Amino acid sequence: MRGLLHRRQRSGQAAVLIALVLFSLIVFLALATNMGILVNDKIRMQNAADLGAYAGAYKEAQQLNALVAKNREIVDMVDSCRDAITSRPWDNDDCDCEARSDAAELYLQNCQASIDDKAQEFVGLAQWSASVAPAVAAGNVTLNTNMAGTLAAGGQIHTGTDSASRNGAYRVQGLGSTPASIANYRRAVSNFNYPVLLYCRTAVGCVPSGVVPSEETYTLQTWYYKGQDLSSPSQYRPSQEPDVWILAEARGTPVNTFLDIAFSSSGTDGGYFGASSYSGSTDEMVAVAVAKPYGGSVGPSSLSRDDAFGNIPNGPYFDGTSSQTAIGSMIPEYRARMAGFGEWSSSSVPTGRAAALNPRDAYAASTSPYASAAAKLRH
Amino acid sequence: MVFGLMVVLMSMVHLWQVTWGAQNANIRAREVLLHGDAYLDPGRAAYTSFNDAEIPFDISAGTYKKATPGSAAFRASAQDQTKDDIIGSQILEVTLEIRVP
Repeated sequence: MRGLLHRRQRSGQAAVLIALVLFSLIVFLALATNMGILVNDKIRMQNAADLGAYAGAYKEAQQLNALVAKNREIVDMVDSCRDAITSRPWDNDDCDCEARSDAAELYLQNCQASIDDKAQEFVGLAQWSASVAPAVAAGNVTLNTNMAGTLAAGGQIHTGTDSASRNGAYRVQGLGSTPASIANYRRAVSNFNYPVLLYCRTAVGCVPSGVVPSEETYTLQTWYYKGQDLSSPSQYRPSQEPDVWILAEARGTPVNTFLDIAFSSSGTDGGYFGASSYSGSTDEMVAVAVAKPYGGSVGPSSLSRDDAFGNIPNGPYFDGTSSQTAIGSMIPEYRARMAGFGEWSSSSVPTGRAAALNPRDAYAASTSPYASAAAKLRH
Repeated sequence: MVFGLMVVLMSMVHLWQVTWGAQNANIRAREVLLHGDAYLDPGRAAYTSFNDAEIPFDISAGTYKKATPGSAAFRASAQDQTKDDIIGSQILEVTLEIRVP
C-alpha cells in the first residue's frame, strides 16, 4: 500500500522534464533557423556589394585603357610631325628676307591643330560623364542583379569626390576650368627648335635686316601626364595614380524573423549583422565594398621638373627621345581589383598629408556611415 | 518521446548543414567570378561569359582580367551538397552575375 502511494507521487516528473527539454530544443531550432536566414541574407548582400563595386571599377578600367590608347595616338602624331618637318616638305619655298621660316611655322601650326583635335578627344574621354558615370551605372546594374532573393533589399553606388566637405578624400580635379575629370592630367609641352638658315633661303638680292638667328623655337603642346597643379614650381609634386574609387553599398531590412535575436526589426542597436539606421527607427543590414582600377598608366608617371615645365631637351631637331620615354610609360593594362577591408578601414581617418597618401581609408570612412558596421560578419 | 528528441536534433543538424552549404556556395560563386578557378577545385564551380568568344579571365598577370574595350558581362555558378542524413541531402546552387555594358 505504501509502495503504491509512493509510485503515484513520483509519476509525472519525467513528462515535465521532457516538456522543458523539448521546449528548449524548439527554441534552439527557431534560433538556428533565424540565424540561418540572416546569415544567408548577409552573404547575398555582401556578394552583391562586392560585385557591384567590382563591375564599376572594371568599367572605369576600360575607360582608363581607352585614355592610354588616345594618349599614345597623340605621341604618334607628335612623332609624325617631327619626322615630316625634318624632311622639309617646303623645300622650294623661300623666306623673303624674313628671319623666320613662314612655311615651317605654318606647318607646325597645322601639326598643332591636328594634335589639339586628338587632345580634345582625350579630354572628352576623361570627363566624369563619359567615365565615372557609366562606371556607376554598370555597378548599379550588377548590384541590383545580385540582390534578388534578399528581402526588402535596396542598394546604391557611391563614387569618389562629389562633396567638398569630405575630409581627406582624394579630390578629383579637372583640366583648368573644364568639368571634373577622373584624374589630374596635365599637358606636356615641347620646345621644338628648328634651324632657320637650313629651312629658309632668302631671295636673290635680299639683305635681311638684323641678325638672322641660327634657329627658332616653336612650342608644341603634346601628350598628357599625371600630376598636380604645377603653376608654382615650389609646389611640384610627383604624379599620382588615378583617384577613382568605386564604393558600393547594399542595404536591406529583413522582414521575417522567427525570434528577435541579434537583429531587431524594431530596435536600434544594430545587432550582430547590421548597423543602426541613421534615422534611429529600424535596424538595417548593410554590406559595403570598395574596388579600384589598377595596373596601368595613362601618362608618364613621373617627369623631371624641367620636363614638366616643357623644357624637354631637344635640338636642333626634335630628337624624339622624350616621346619614346613618354610612350613607354603609357601602360594600357588597367584591371579592376577589390580593395581588402584593411585597405579602407574606418578605424582611423587620416588627415592632411596622410590622407593624400592613403585616400581610400579616408574616403570610405567619410563616405559610408556603415563602414564600421559592415565589418560585422564580413565574408 | 525519444524519437521526438531525435527528430528535433536531426533537424537542427540538417539546418546547420544547409546554412553551411549555402554559405559555401555563395562564397565559391563569388570567388569564381573574381578569380576564375585559380583557387578552387575544378568542378565545384563554373563561370560563363555572355559573349561565348570571350574568356572571362586572363591570369597572365594576376587573376584579375584586363579591362579591354567592349562587353565584359559574365556569370558564375557554384554548387554545394549537404551530407546525406535521416532527412536527406540537398543541392544548393548559387548564380552571380557581373554586367558591364
